[in-house]
Amino acid sequence: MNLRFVALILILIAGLLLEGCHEKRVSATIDPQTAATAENANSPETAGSPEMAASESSTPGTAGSPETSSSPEASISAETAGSPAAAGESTPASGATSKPAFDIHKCYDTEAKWSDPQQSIPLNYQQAQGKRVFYNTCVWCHADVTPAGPSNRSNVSPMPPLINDGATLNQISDEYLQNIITLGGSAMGKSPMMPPWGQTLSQSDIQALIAYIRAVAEPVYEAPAHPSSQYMVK
Amino acid sequence: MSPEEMGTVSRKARMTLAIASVAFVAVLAVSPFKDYFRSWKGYEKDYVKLAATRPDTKRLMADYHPGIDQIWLPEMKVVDRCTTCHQGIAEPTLMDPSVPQPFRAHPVIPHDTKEWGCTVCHRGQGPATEVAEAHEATVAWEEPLLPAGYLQASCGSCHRGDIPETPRLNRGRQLLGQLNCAGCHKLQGIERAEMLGPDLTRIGSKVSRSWIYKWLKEPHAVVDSSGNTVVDGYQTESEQRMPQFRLNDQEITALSAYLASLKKQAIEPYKYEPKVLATWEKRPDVAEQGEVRFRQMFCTTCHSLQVTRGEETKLIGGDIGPELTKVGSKVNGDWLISWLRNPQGYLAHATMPRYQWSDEDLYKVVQYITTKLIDPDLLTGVPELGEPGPEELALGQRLFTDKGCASCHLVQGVNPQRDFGPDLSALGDKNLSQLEFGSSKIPRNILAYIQAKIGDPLSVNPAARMPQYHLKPADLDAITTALLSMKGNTSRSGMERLTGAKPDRQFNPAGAFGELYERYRCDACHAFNGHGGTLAPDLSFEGSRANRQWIIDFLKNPQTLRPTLLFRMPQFNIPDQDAVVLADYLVTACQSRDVKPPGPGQAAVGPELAAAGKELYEVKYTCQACHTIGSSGGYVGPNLSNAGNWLNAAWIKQWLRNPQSLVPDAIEPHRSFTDQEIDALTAYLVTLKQSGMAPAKAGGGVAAAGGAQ
Repeated sequence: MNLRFVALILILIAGLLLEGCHEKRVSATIDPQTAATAENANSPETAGSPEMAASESSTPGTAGSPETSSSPEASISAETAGSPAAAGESTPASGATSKPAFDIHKCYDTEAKWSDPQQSIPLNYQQAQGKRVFYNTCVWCHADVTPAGPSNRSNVSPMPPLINDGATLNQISDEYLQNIITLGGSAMGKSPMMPPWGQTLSQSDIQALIAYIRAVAEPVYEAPAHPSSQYMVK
Repeated sequence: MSPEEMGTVSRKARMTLAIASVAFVAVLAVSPFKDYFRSWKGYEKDYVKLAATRPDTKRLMADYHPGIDQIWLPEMKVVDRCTTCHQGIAEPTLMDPSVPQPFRAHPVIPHDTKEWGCTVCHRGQGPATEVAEAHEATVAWEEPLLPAGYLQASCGSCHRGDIPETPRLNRGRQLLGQLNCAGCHKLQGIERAEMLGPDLTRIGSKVSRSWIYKWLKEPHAVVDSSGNTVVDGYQTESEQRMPQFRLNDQEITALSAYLASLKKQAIEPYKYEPKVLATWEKRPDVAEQGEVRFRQMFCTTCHSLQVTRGEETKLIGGDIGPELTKVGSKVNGDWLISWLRNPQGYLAHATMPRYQWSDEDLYKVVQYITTKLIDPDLLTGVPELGEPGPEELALGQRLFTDKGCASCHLVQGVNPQRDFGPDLSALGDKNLSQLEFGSSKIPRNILAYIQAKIGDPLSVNPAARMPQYHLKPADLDAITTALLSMKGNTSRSGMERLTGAKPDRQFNPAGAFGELYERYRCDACHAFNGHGGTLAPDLSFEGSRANRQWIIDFLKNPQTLRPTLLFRMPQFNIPDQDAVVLADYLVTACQSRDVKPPGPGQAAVGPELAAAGKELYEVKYTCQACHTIGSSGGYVGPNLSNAGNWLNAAWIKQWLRNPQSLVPDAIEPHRSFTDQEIDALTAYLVTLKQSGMAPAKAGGGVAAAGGAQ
């Protein structure tokens, strides 16, 4: 009879201690993929602090490795004909197998790389708004193909740079870009054919545009370590 | 138990009690211990450590509040504790990608993350304080985080009207409308249109039974191995509206028999003027002449044709009307003539304008369509379909409603089944237990469910009545986003009133103008006071913009102002008196409040002012970057060679002051000209006049389209 008491108490303790794991196991019975992620959350092997690694792999906003990804469409593509092949459309990962491939469903919007339309560039919300502003306003002179067909770029002299021309635009600071877009070319001592957009576009539109320019730059733009000065580096 | 033993405690019992006490203390100790090791406390410690390594430690620590942090919005049903761990969410200095999660700042968005919380957009379990519970599906909470690619669905749950910030959601809503999903399903914010598929009441007088058979068998859209939508063997950008139904041969035969029997009124053969027939019947180049006329009339503004250039084959032209590459093998010749002469006579709400045909033009164009736009192999593979028996007709009629044809196609006297498909207006808010996965192998979540249902309906339900659509992956994602945004009327906050879709405005002009407006279907392309199409310029303020005589000339011979445009105003052959009625109405009724006509005491402009304006145009503001005058200049803005005849001076002045006040989405930048500069530029522009107008170039626009994206 007393043994029964002891056993009951031991079971109680065991139950309380296991409570945390219990819920995860319940979720495992629903979706094996979730379980994979939950297990990963408990294993401290991944780089960095274990907690951080756990949240990295369980947050769809950041890319998880293909096996542990809880993204539903990664698995649907394998089973349903005609559904998006999430893994197939992603850019090739840079060598290492542990490095996850970029998933087209894990970003707000995408832009096809101009030099290689098969590849997509992920855009966050702000960059996506910049893309919209670009295709409304700037594309006519800063691209070789426009939604209406031929481009006006060759009619403008000096010829304006393409928006993805990293070699030229990466040299220019955010502040300088903001000024030349807002005030126009003539105010900055450049070609007067670049009109001022400060009264047409809002400042947040212009900042989004700069974020987009940085996102599509080829070669890739790297932000300066220190806040840049307002003036262009000569 | 003996009386001596009563009140005494045995050794054994003491032991048990001791063990039990120790165990009890241990159990009690577990709670504070577990509480101490809560994962969010670990994150808080890590955040403090991270803050110490940042240059702005002091400011970060000033914003740091230990303990559970909660955002509560009762009206939005939001209880979010996400910021307990995501401490740096609103710290602009932590936006750098090198900052580890969960501390990185949220990317720039128009809503304040600290005010709105996270789950209203990202979904997931807001009150949870464990990583897995917050982000994933659990027994108690079936809504995991929404992958970022579908986040626009959350925008659409509040913003019922289209906003430019959500391209994927807008595309999805547009597709749900275009693909006629509202025919069978109840959708939120997408009303069933009056006419979805074509009216079939008189289809038997338009096409043959063999053609119907072929069409039902292969509704001319197939997806090739690389996932591209191919129409009749060539690739196209546009989605096909008629999906593929799973019909067997017997069903197709019966349906084609029933449909071919629908000939309410026979089509009377049209009698051409004998003189026209005598002249044109023997001309060998009549079809070529018809093609020239077809292009001159800009039929391709609404209809597309298959064009092969080199290796590439694609559709070129508009999508307001159907594509016409093989229409000559499809329709009955007498029907074609009667349709071209009076589309509304066959179909009361047809979008096609009623052209003013001369017999000569009609003959030429019909010859072109029936001899050039054909495919002799179109009906190969169609078996010999004899006279249908009464059982076949009855079966066809039953199938017409049973298979859902009647949900999109009107046949007078046939009532569609009510609620043919499930109600999807609150699909985005459904729990997993409300979705019927059946025995399918798809993952148990709503994203996978929607995509499988649309991508391959049979994969979820082998008895599905839903037809097969062939969607590109991007379009499938767009539709999924739009469906996820439909959460029914869950919000009690009255948000819908602020962010709801704008109701469709009506514009029903009366009188002589109203009659012509109906006849030429102006609203198919032009908008008037918020009602109408978006293909062509909004004409709400046309009377302030253009001179009356210019409008009359334009209507009679539409010239494009923008040479790069692919879609141009069709040539309607408008008679003089009609053009005058249209121009008078536009000049009188379509006026902007912002454009003030010049007062009586206005000084006449001298040539010096115009010269100063020319200087400003060419040197200071380099307008030639975008506008063409004569033969040189840019393509972005309209050609200004004839601005003096075209534009009102008062319009030019207001336009230069603020273009967006007249056309809200104008590309022209809003500059800060001085009043003197505006006067000078206006003086220059009104001197630009062209006497003779160049004839419209045929086919130029089509050639330009090759470079379009």
